[in-house]
Amino acid sequence: MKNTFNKKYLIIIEVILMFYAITLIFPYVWILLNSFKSVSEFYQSIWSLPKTFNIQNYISAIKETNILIYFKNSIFITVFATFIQILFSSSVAYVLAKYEFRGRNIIFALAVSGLLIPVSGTLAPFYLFMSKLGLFNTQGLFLYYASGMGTNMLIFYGFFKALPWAYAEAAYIDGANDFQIFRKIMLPMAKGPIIAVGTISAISIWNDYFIPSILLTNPKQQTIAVGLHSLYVQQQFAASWTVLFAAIIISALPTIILYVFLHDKISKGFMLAGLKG
Amino acid sequence: MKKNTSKKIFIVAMLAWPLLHWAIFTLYMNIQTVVYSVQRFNYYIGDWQFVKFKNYSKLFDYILTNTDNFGIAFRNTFLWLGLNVFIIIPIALVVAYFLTKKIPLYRFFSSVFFIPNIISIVVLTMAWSFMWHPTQGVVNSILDIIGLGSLKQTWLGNSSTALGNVFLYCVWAGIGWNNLILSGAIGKIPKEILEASELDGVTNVQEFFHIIIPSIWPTIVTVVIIGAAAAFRVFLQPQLLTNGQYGTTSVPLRVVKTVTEDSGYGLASAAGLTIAVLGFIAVYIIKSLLDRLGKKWE
Repeated sequence: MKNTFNKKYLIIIEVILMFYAITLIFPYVWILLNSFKSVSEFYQSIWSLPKTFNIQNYISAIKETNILIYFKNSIFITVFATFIQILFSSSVAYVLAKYEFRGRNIIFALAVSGLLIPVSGTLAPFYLFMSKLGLFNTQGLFLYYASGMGTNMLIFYGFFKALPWAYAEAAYIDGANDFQIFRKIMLPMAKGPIIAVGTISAISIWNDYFIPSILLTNPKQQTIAVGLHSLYVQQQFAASWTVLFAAIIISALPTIILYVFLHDKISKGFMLAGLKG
Repeated sequence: MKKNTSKKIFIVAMLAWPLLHWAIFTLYMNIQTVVYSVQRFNYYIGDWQFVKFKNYSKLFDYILTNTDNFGIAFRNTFLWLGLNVFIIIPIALVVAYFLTKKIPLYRFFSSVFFIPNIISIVVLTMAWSFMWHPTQGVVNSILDIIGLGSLKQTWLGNSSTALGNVFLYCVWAGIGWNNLILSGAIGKIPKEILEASELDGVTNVQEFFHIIIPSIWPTIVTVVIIGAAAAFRVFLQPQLLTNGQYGTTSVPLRVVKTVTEDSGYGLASAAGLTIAVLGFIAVYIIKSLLDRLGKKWE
């Protein structure tokens, strides 16, 4: 589409959109600049540039807080949970898309209906169930993440539905069984949906706050989102803003770097997930 | 025959765990919510007791008398519905229209507007709170610099501005996702339709209302339904910005607090179920209204 706007209006539109864009970027630039200041420098002026690029706050954040532990926990949980979500959602999607059996349509309907039910409404039974079985902390969180229904499944389903079955026929003749066909032939062809589901799952698990904040009661097992929030609460009493700024930069860096390099793929993945869900 | 059995084993093996997970975390949790909503934990006998609709009448009473802010929570949840449907999505639609017209910097804008979706809500709400902080915040500082110091506020810390500020946060952080989906739909409108209208000399406003909106109506309906359903789940935004204080709480946040702070599992389940049913009705009404509107264009 060509833009056919009157110049005068176009300038107004550009100014408004630019203002909005600045409000979205500015906070991180501000946090980054202030993370190099000492506390007293920060209190003198919130606008000044740091006198020197002092990494003292980063050293303090790493030494005095658990941020490195949170970071390690987040990487571990994100990698592992993303892997199991890809595995289970592709399994369900593949079977639903390629095999005829009784109950197939019901399972498909169940997978979709689950998306409409809010999490927080069922918090009471969730909380009681997890505490009765002692499933708090990392193991409980993995159990919760290990799902195969929902949006991820729908992305794989669309892909497998369109994939020709002839590949499998040929492999059957060569004597391969169903498991081998799925693992060695079908799954390797699903690179596109694996990347889409992988990036979306990884970003949402890395950023997830609510269920982790309920389940991760042991501070040594907390993820970065949960730990950062407790640092924020502590900071309100300690007024050590600049160390908190450093911790924020450390924690947001992975997703920002990922987005800078992969933003086309990431937005495409989100678009796919959004429209299927 | 042997092939058939091995196929059955394969199907069962592939589906067993995901179905079990669904049965526990979706089916069981929802059934238990209904069960707990008509029960109360009796501390004397140490067990659950059937109390009929007592939790619901308690909830109703709490809403009417605004005990524990339940009244405000219900009002706010419906305000959120209005915010998502009538403010965030229309803004996102207009933005999507401009960006798909490829105005200067459109690529930059669409990637920047999407940033809130890749950053944790914990970091986003912190960044927002810093900007609006009463003493070290950027907004109050700018007001001082441009000589409007009298307008300075403890934005997130008093009842007259807190809710508006939380809503503003939701708009600020909520445009990008809707914009992405709507831009995608506008981009798929056949070129011939748009070129034909250009030759007919339609204005931008006419094009927006008479060509763009009818052409992508199914996507608009989808986005509105997702936004409407999301309104009934909002709780992290007020929880992280104000901890639900200063009149900013929502029903899901009340459910969370009732479980984690008061162990009021019966009341929380009744509230959770009530808001889920209300949400379902609201989404259904909105969907049928939009479908009726869409028929006019066919």
